[in-house]
Amino acid sequence: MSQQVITTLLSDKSAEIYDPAVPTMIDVSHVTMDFNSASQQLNSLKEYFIAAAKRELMFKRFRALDDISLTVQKGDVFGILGTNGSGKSTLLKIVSGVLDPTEGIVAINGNIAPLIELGAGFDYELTARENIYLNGALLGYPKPFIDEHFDAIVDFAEIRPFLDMPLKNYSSGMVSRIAFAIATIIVPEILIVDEVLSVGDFMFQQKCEKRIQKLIHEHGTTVLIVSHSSDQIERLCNKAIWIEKGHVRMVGTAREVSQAYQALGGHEGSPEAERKIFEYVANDTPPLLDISETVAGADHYDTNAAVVGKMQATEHFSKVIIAWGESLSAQMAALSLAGNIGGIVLLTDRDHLPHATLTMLAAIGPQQVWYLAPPNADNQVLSSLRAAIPRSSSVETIDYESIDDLTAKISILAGKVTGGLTPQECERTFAVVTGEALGSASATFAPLIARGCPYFAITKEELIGRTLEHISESGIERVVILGQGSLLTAFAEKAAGDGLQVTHLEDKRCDEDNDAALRWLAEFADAGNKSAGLYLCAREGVVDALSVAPLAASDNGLMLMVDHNDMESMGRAVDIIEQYPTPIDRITYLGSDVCFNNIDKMIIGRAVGRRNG
Amino acid sequence: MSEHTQTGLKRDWFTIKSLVSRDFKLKYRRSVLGVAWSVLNPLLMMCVLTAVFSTFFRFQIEYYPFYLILGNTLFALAMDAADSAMYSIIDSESLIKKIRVNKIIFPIEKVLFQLVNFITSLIAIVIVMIFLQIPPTFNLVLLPLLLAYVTIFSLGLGLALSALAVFFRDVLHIWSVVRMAWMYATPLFYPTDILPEWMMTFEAFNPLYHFVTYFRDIALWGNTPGLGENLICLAFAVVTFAVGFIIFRKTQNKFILYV
Repeated sequence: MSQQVITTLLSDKSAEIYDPAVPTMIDVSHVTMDFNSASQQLNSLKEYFIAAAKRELMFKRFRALDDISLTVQKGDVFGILGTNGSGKSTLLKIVSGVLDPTEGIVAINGNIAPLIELGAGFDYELTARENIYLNGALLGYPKPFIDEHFDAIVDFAEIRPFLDMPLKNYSSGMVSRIAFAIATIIVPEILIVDEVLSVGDFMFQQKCEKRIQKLIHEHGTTVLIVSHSSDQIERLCNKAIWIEKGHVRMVGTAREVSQAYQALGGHEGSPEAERKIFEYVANDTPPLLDISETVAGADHYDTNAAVVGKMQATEHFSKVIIAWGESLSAQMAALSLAGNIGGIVLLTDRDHLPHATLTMLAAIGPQQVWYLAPPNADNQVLSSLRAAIPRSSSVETIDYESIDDLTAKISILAGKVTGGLTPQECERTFAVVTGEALGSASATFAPLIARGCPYFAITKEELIGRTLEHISESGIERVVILGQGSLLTAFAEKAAGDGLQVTHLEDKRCDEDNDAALRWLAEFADAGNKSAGLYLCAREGVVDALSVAPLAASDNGLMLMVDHNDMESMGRAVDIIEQYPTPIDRITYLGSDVCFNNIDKMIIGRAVGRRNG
Repeated sequence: MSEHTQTGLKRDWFTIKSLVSRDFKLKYRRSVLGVAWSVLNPLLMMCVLTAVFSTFFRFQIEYYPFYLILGNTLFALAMDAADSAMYSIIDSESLIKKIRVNKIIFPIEKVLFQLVNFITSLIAIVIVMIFLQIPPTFNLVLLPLLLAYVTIFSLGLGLALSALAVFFRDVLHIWSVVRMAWMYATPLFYPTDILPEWMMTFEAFNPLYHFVTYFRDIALWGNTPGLGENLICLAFAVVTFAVGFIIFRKTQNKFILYV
């Protein structure tokens, strides 16, 4: 269930952005638009009379806009932002005179060229040439004017060879090119643009934008533009409004509105979390971009190799573990082994050794390699592995049928290699258990695993007993179970029955899971308190968290998983950062812009700035 | 106002012209005979009706085929105009919802398009006149006046129907029945003298009866319609137009919510 959309006013700076010296072009004053949703279905007399008898005619009212006011001045490029169904297009229709508002007044000062849904009025049976005249006529151009500009339209739309072909044979991109060319051939005083720039290919979008820029800069055209893309609004506009479900949420400069929209628009969460995040967006403390770093490879093999490369610069690794990159739990198991034996993890595909891994292997030149061969792996992986490392090095292949099998084997192996002694003795007293999937708290635990904490995966019921045997043989007292499912619940019960202390963190929401994980770590592992590095992993990027975990482990860093579309998660992350006991001197974002965009980085950076004081 | 856009009548007139030309192009696109159908169609219809009615009813009407084609084409003009005007608003939904445009141009355009069609079918009438050797008279100069009456009348009817059809789609269905009843109630293929007395009283209030008779007067019987007859036709046209126009004007702002 999605939560109630927040529609309260966040900030209204319309008085600040208003310049009394500049004439007003569009004045929307307290406009309310009601649609009678019942009346839309009443298309027959019978229905009408039934509804009239039931007195339902005016009751099912849908309020598309609620008391919207807006002042657009000459030369403004005014952006309208909002999620789908927020009333943006209704507002544009009212401004362009297509719709009459239920209440309120719209005053327009100048002629309007509406670019609302390009191609309205095209007849697909007619040729492009005929359509240019027809559409021009509908837009109110006289014939001589169209004659005069016919060539310019055709050239802009790049359709000259197809002029006498019926429009139905055109691609939709070509159709929108023609429509845009016709609509912008005049120099209007007010241009109204409704998402038109989202049609067509990239080249065409650029061309349209250029044309609009030209109208703005050379002719001083006032523009009202609707877009989903806050980037576009920030790039094109000087002022903006954000409306949500017909209510004004924010009015201000395009920059501040689009930033707030990017951080909050369409995201779920409580008003409190939203306030908190908005405070960071609206604030102008420096976002500490100089201590931020983004780790993003072309794919996760690449990211993993990049992190290993980074670590190898300061520390030499003679032991390498090759794990299957498609399986999170296999990677987690490898991480645990690496932490135990002081090695490093590289990833492989099932049927070939990725290039990034090969390069890294050659750079390290390891003496010992453990290859955790995934079920049905191609032999080629092993042969290219041997070719990539020095002749004298040893390669031990560990075949496994299931991930339970692997984690059990690794736990024995870890004991063998280190002779029962572990680098960090305290971390041997507890183990982390997951199912096939890793919960959202696993990012927080990943550095711990990378320091050698035993890890077990449960995927089959009959293996619960065996895994528990291993756990008790290793002298482990506490078990943290991450994730949910009946297998894990059964395991939790059995483990508790065996006298182990069990903590089960079910995969709920990023914010709650982070909280629970941090509480556990603070209580039992004493981890993260001395850290200076902050690692942020996106909900969709657990795999990168596992790759970066050794780096975070080496500087005792704090790793958090953040769902940037969830304001609760962002808000909680900001809280954790603010209350962090030691100053943070590095922020590392895992994943590309898709995971953390500039606004997310700005919010986190400012939170760190506030923490550091 | 920028010099490139125009407002008011001039703009609307160009839009109407463009739409009529669209309709005209689309009507005959990809037919081998093209516009010739506008002439052929009434001729063929006339042949069928003549064959049917002169076999079954044996009406004693001089130049029966010509009598038929005059009544049929004029009636078709009035009804097709009202009919296509009725659908014009509903069919222009996408335009009305997206472009600020004077909505009345849609019914006007449809009526004018039917008028253009009618004028092409006049060729068929001329052909029949030549074939039957009916001498033209000076009364034919009154034809434009008649067409003005019929056009204004149909426009009024079309405006009312188009507005009502937006709110109640039932109108579309009711209208097809009314149209058929009207066709039988108007002496198109039978002579007036077979009508009973009370029916003749009714015909006095049937605008189509007056228009069709007017047409036959000037084209077939060589009568010059008197001032009284002209005033009756004018009154029908003006009153119908006024009623239709008022209905349309009162409701047009709500169209967008219902189309």
